[in-house]
Amino acid sequence: MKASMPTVATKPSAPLWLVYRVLVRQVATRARVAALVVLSSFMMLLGFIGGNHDPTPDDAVGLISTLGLAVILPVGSLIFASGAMADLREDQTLVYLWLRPMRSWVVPLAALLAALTPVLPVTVLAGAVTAELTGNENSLTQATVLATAMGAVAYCGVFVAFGLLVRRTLLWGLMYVLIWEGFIAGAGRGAAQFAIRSYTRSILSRMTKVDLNLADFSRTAAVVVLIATAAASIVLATIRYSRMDVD
Amino acid sequence: MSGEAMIRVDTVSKWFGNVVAVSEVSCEISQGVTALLGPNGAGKSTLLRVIAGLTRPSKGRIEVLGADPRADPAVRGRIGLVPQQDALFDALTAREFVELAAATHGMDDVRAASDRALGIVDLSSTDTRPCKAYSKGMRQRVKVAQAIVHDPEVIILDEPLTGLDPVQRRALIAVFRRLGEDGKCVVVSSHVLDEVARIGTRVVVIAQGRLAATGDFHALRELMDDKPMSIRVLADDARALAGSLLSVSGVVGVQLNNQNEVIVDSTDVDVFGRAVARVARDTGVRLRHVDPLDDDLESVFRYLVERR
Repeated sequence: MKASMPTVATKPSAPLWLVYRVLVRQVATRARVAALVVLSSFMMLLGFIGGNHDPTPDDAVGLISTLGLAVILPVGSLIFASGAMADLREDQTLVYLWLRPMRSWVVPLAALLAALTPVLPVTVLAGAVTAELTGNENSLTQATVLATAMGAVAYCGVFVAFGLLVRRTLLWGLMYVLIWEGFIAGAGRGAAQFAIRSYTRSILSRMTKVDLNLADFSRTAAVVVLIATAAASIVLATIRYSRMDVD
Repeated sequence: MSGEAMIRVDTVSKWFGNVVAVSEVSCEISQGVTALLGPNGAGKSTLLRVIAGLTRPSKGRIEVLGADPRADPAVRGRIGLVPQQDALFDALTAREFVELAAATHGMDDVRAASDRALGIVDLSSTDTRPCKAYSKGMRQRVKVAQAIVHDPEVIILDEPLTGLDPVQRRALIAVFRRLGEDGKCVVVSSHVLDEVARIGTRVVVIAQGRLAATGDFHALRELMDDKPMSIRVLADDARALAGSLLSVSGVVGVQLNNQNEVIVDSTDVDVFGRAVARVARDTGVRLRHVDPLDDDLESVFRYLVERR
């Protein structure tokens, strides 16, 4: 056989697309998609029920915040994003990507994009539909869409990195969502700065002008921090990926 | 090893916590087929992972094609690896899996390369079933196809014959030999001794994490000059013959297995070979068969492992 000499790819977009396609197929299993759809449907159902009882803006924002941004978004992101890298490590298929002459950021970034592929449309759509069903003004829908989209990017970035940094990614991710964000970050402003939820809720609060506890970052700051969180996570994942032992 | 070394292993050790998996191994491997032989848990897979760059050695240095595979992604692109684990991207078809390998190696004609690699391992490129529907043997062949699709100079195969039926084994061994003849550096690990004997005469023996021996089969035998060789003698009156054989120079023991069979341990096989017919004639015993019991890789392996 004669072949072109492999080198480090000078055009990373091609391998990025290839790896992304593989990871999407690995990650978006029927069970995971079904779980996300069921969770999202539950929120939409509550939005529909609430909408029939003339909810106040506080009620509507509270539903989006406590169920959408605090549960469905992080848990949905965790299910897909942790699988994107952790599954490859655990089933030992990572070797087939690691050994290729690709730039080391290609695989973590492809994992982020693969996780976002189902998470972003489902959670954003579910949030928007729920906001509409509550019958509140237009700013709630816009705020929900922006907060959910930015939150999905940040959560997926963090959980992709988790997949490379720790074993039992799902467990660690749940501990982060339930214990850190659910309890510790709610205790004070200091800890709240290190919780993604604080920023997604801040976007919601600022755009709807409904006060939420420990959600007082500006919209711009919140968006920047969420994007920076995702970027930093992918940088961390890339460093870990390039230095890790592969089975 | 003959020829220029394509893989250099220089006093490499690898430990995991307190467990030493590979200890102070040094060897050079050149083009052609080399069998890495050792029992399960000997450190073969760890050594191959170090050579492929999948893990950094705790101590020592690895060079593949003149570079450190851990630090140089371009060199990794010139290596083909069949890992020991059964895992594949199960949602993909064999063709998609091999095409992914070709594409991520930056090949131009991905489809042609994939078809060629699948053809070499006797798999159909038109099979639409996902890999998860494949038998163990077919999955092994998919792994080999993805390892050779980019025409690598160094091919590392960790227990590639596991799960294959005899016909598939013969076919793959022929593929390995052909790759070796084409100038590739092919390293095949196995703990199955008859497999190794068929894969090639050049062996690296590893036991308990240490290099036990390296060279070809005959070179290994030279290491064993101090080991008595066992020779089976079949005769019509083995009991009478056994006593007389003790007087032959170099014979250090005889064991009568039954009325017609005696096992002789000798440190000088040549002398024994010349003497046995004379002794039988003098004793009035008719010889039926004389053959060495341990002129095979298994005895070499057992001896080397026990010697450690």
